[in-house]
Formats: sequence, C-alpha cells, structure tokens
Amino acid sequence: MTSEMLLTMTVLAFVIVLFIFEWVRVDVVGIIMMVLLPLIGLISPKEAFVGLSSNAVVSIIAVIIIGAGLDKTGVMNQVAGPIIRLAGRSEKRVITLISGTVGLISSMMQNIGAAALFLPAAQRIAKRMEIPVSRILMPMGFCAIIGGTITLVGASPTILLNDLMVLGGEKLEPFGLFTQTPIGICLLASAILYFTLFGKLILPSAGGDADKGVTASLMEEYRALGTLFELHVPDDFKDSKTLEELNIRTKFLVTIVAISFSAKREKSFVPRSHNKISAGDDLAVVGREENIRRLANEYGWQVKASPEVFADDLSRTNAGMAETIVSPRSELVGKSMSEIHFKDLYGVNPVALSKGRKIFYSGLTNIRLQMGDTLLLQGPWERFHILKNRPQPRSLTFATPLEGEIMRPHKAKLAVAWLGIALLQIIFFKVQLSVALMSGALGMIITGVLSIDEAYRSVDWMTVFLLAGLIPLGIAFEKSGTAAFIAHNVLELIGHPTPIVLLAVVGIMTSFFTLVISNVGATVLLVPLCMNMTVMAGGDPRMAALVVTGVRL
Amino acid sequence: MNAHFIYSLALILLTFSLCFWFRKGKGDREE
Repeated sequence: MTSEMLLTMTVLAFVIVLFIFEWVRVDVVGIIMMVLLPLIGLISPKEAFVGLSSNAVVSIIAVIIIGAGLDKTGVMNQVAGPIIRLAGRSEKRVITLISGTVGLISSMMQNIGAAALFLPAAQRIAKRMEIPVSRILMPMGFCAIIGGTITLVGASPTILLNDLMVLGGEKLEPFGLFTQTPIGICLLASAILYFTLFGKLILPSAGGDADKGVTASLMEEYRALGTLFELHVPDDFKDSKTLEELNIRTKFLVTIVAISFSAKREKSFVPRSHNKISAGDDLAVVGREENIRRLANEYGWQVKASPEVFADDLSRTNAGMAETIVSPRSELVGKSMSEIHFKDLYGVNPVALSKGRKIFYSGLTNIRLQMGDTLLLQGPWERFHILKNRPQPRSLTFATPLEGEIMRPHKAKLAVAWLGIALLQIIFFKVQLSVALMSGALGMIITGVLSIDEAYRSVDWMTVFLLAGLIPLGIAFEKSGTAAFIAHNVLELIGHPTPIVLLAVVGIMTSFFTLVISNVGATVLLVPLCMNMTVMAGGDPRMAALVVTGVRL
Repeated sequence: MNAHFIYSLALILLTFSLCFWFRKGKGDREE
C-alpha cells in the first residue's frame, strides 16, 4: 500500500463519517473534497473542479431548468387531469394510473417535482374515496424514485455514471439516454404490481396529519369563516337577482368567492354586486355549513357534496387565502373598499377584516381602513403574486406566504417542443447529453417559457455541488489505485466467484451502503470499486456500474 | 514518513475537527 492509498482511505473514512453523522450538509462535504484533495496532492487542481464542468452536472442543471419550464406552463397539470378522470373510483386503478404516470414523468424530471405534481390531486381523490392519503402517496413516492431509473437523466446518480466509468485511466463506452430503459420499465412495473397485489397489507389504513397549507390553517384561525362549498342554482329558479339584491353576506355571513355563469359560459373569481344570479349558475361560497344550508333553503339552491365546477380552479394549487396588512403609506388608508373599487383594482375577494381585537365578516366594504388593519383576502394565487410584485410603496403587506406561482399556459406548446428537440438530438443525432439538454433549456429561456432569473432560481445548487464535489473524490479513489487495491482484497476474501454471483454481492453491498450514506456518495465510492472487482473476476465492468446505480435507488 | 504525508494527514485532521467543532446544533445553542 502506498502513502497515497493511505491518504485516500483516510479521506474516505472521513467522508463516510460526515455522511453518516451530517455534521455539515452533504453538499458542503462535496466542496470540502474539491478543496482538500488538491491541497493534499491526491489530484491536480484542474481535476478538483472538473466536476463543475462535467457532463453530469451540466446535464442535471439543464434537466432541472427543462422541468421548471414544463412546470411553469402547466403542461404536466394537463396530463394529470385526464389521468385522474380515467382512474375513477377504484383504489387499485387510482394507484396504478397515478403511480405509473408519476414514474414515467420522473424519468425526465426530478423525482420530487414529478411527485409534487400529483400531490393535490392525490389528496382530493383520497378525500373523495375516504381512504388515507398515504395509501396513494406511498406507491406514488416509490414510483417517482423508481421512475428515475428509466432514463439516464432521471436521477442524479445515473447521470453521474458516465463520468465515473474510468478504468485504469481509460474512459469506458458511455451509456445512452435509453440504455437502461428496459430495466427501468421492469422495475416500475413490478413496483406497481407489488402495490396493487400487496398494497392492502402494507399500506397504512389510518391517516395522519398532513401539511394542510396556508389556506386551511387560516380558515382554522378565523373560526367563524367556515369552509368552501359549491352551490348549484336549479333550472327552475325564476327570479334572477343581482348579488346586491340578494345581500347574502349580511344575511347569512356567507361570502361568494366565484360564480360560473351558465348563460355566458364563463367564470368570475371576483363576483361584483351587479352580477346577476340566474338558473343553471354554480357558486363557490365560503361560510359555515349551517349558514350555507340556510341560504340554500331560502332560495331553493342545491348544496353539492364536494366541489365539481370549481374543483380545479379553487384547488390548493390554484387559489387560496392570504392575510395582508394595510401598509403605512397605503392608498387604502382612510378610505373604504367600496370607495376605491377594491375588487376591480385588486382582483381578489375580501373575506374578513380585523381591526384591533374585532373581526368583521360582513359589511367589510363600507368600513374605513386604517394603517395596520388586517385584511383576509381570497383569490387565485396568480393575482396575489401580481399584487406582491407591485412596485413600492405597496398598499398591502403580505403576512402569510403565498403558494402557487404565475403560470404561463400559453407557452405550453413551446415548452413541449423544446423538450422534444432536446430528446430528438439525443436519440437521432447522438448529440452529447449535456449539449442537447442545455440547448433545450436555452430554447425555453430564449422563447420566454421561463426567464433566465427563474431558470437560475430553479436550479438546485445542493445537488450540483454534491455531484461536482464528489466527482474529484471518485477520481482520487481510482487514480491512487485505492479502488483496485480494495477490490483485490475483497475478491481474495470471498474467493473469486462467477460474475453473476459477484453482481449479486455488489447489489447487496450497495443496498447496505445506501442505508447509511447519501445515494450520490454511495455511487461515487462503489462504482469504481465494483468495476475493478468485476474486471478482476472476468465480468463486464459497465454492468457492475449499472447494478450499483440501479440497486442504490 | 515524509513531510508531505504528515502535512496531508494534519490537513485532513484539521478539516475533520473543524467540521466536528462547528457542527450543526452546537452553534445554534450558543446563539
């Protein structure tokens, strides 16, 4: 054993301890490697930062930007809609379809992004079918992870693979984008099969507390507010009246937050007092159930069991509530909301107003606002984001975080086209992964699918620096001969098995490793080690590399 | 044992102890 090997092993032990105990975050460990390894002379300064310009890191940055672009245009939401309708009410079908789709989507997107896409829908379906949401989320989460094995860019360890496949200073033939697809599809299919067959036994039958979101917690806070209901005006409703004439808020303490006009076939999310309610319309209202039932009885309207017409528009991802405070130099100070035509100007619904210790739920629009008054507003998240982005001085200060974001649905076709162009380059023109993906990301930025700042913000720097920092460690591990040394000794110990047995050993070893250290870390350490072992045993080193990344998922 | 080896080992140990000393949680309590 040379002194370089000894140093490499000391660093390795150090890294493993840091990964297990997390004294510093994993990406900081990566940066430590970038600095420490060239300082102690295990690699050259150039090799230290080669990770940052590696195919893997550039690809992952591009994939994240492409995913963010798809997200921003709501393309994926359009996929989610039909899938949910197709799934219907059978639990097995819901699990199969949702998990399958999430798996396929996560083959091209980051796992978390793919799972997050179906999160609101899963929660809604679980509520409707009266099963705990974890029964749907658990299979969905697993399939999002397994879906990452379908393509080379689906998960960070697989992206890393091509950069790690160096044996004795020579680069092995890199994997293509779809080389591993058959394996990935089989894994995904068996996971879904497992959950549909044994799901009843292993999935929880009782629900826990999930993250409710800002709106739900605000509604709990303002107790008199009640919840969201949908009302239908029957066709035999004769006397169409304006909201002003109906005077619903004062009479029933119920706020109308949206109307779907059947005659005009359009929806309004800021109902005005001159809007007429007539037969066939649907209303979304916020209020206490008993008040809403009183309102429905009085006019002969129907209370629906769950939102239908507004299920999507008013879902947690699209609309919600925000608590705002009237700012010191606000144009609202000393005026009432009706005087300044608040709804026209702001495009959101005032639901409650608290002045000092008093909370008002009705007659809000005629109360003169003072600095520091708290206004509870309801509306589409997009409106709130526009209000928040207004130049200073803003009339309202937001006290609660906003969910959702400004979407660009009209750019959806462009986003899909750029993804298509990137994939075409990879499949048919054999363009290098990082170049092809980055051209797709660049296309999205140039055509305004997302701005360059949004692209920068979307990049997960933790993943980038973790990958970029661990690549030099992989280089040192291989270059100093440590990988070959350990592989040789392990083989001596287990007595030169056949390649198949060896691959099984590699698989089991990787499983244990990933239990204690991050999956990228395990990949960097085990890929060089296992490739050396397989070559010595007469097997295919690329196969070993694939087993390591496949198993560690 | 040459000088470079000892220097390298010292550097690794120094980094290691820095990480340990300023680890998460410890600093929070002091604030």
